Amino acid sequence: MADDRELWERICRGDTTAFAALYRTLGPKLEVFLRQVLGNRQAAEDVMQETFTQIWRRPNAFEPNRGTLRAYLFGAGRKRAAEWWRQQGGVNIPVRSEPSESKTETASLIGDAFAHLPEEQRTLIWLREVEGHSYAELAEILGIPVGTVRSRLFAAREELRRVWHAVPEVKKGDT
Amino acid sequence: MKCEEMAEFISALCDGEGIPREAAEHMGECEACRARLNEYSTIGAELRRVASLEPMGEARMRDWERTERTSRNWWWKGWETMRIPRLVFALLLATIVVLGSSLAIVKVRAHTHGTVLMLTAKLPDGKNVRCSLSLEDKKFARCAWMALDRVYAFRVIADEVDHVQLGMRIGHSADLAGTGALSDENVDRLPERQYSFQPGGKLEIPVAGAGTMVITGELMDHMPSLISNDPSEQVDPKPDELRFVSPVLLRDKQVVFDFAGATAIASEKREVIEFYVPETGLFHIALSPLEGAVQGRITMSRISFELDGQAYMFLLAAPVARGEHVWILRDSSYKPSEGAHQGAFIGTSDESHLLGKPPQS
Repeated sequence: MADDRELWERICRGDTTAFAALYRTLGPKLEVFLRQVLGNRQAAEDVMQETFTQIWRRPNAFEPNRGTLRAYLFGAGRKRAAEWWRQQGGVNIPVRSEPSESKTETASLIGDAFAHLPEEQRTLIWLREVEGHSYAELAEILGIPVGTVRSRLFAAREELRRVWHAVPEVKKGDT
Repeated sequence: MKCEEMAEFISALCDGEGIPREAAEHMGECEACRARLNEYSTIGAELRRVASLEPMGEARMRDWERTERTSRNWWWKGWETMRIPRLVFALLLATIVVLGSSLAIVKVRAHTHGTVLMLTAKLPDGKNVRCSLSLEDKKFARCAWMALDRVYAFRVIADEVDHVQLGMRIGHSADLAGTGALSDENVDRLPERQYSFQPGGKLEIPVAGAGTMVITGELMDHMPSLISNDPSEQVDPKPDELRFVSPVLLRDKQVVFDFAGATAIASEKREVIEFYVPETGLFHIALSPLEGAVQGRITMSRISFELDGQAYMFLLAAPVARGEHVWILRDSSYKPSEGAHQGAFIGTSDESHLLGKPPQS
């Protein structure tokens, strides 16, 4: 992908080819992230589409000096997801883990544990561990200070670790 | 160092961050901490593995050419074809209203898209101020104003699932003395306190030496057409009401000052609008004659008048008043008192403040 600033300038000028490239490259990643946050495949796709539509309509909201385009996109998606949660009444529904033959037991247990985390912690861990966002990018996406990113990541990891070790009991309670 | 104190450093280590020497030494000696590091690493690796198993198809094809954009063309097309709404649309740009008899300075940001947190602050003196904060666009997630001798500023720090994290700054206007307008940079010099606000709820915030400010607010899915203390506010001004919405002052067809997005409404008896621009003076605008004032003519959303042989015009984004005339008194010698905010401002004040002032020369 071209340099963020150059790409963004093209998008601001209405270059549909540039925006379509951004959509093709980051759209699927954003959708997978939103699936983890929302726990609903259809909602994840809808929110991803809405996020890109919003950005296409109002491209000036991105400031290249303040962070990367990728962080901006995930931040916008995350805000849309928060709005979706609010419309659902703000209830934290555990994400349903898709059954898969190829998952190892550990992976499956961690996946289950992850699904039981609160939305905010799922978001943070996914963006860090899977998407590889830096602390600065996470601060930009979540609108919190960098120091808070560090302490919240720690809290999220600890919670995931705790739930991971307790997953058999959780599963028992679910059945 | 104890293992409990180490845990956060282990998490940081996982992220490639540096840790203090003491923590690093402890890690070398402590089996339990090394085990925790391994677990954190395993969690990360396994999550990436889970992610790799997530089905990730291609994004559905979209025709961006046909997806409407907010652009000049759209604006003009909409402007040409709207029925009521030229005014309504213009009013979408207004974001804050300060009502009250005391001098007030308003700084606003406007936008017309996305989720909006509409806050009402009941100040210690009983006056209400409303401002709208975007939860989506950081550029429009702040508002600041001055009332009496204090500066108030809100900003959205984070939009969480069930609450909004707000940053609030309260200071004395003297703290910003000589620094010009209420720029973000200036306001950010004031100390900030963070509050968790639940839309629909209430926050009580102590204002040192003045009492308590009460914040209430709700989420809206759009920017209301007109923001004021009265939820039933209409586009047309009420009788005896004088409204300045997003005013621009022109002198001989040149822009003197643009208060984009700011609104001031004089609705009380003997209340006048004040419009101050450094080097130009303080304008008092009233619906009834003031001693020494010139008459201005209202045509649509414009007020034309002459002063010292020069043609002036206020351009507004909404109807000004129900009548056809206003009276304008300029105090060209006015200067904000020492220690007060020195930049341009708009607000309202009581006409009695004008008593004893020399007529405009």
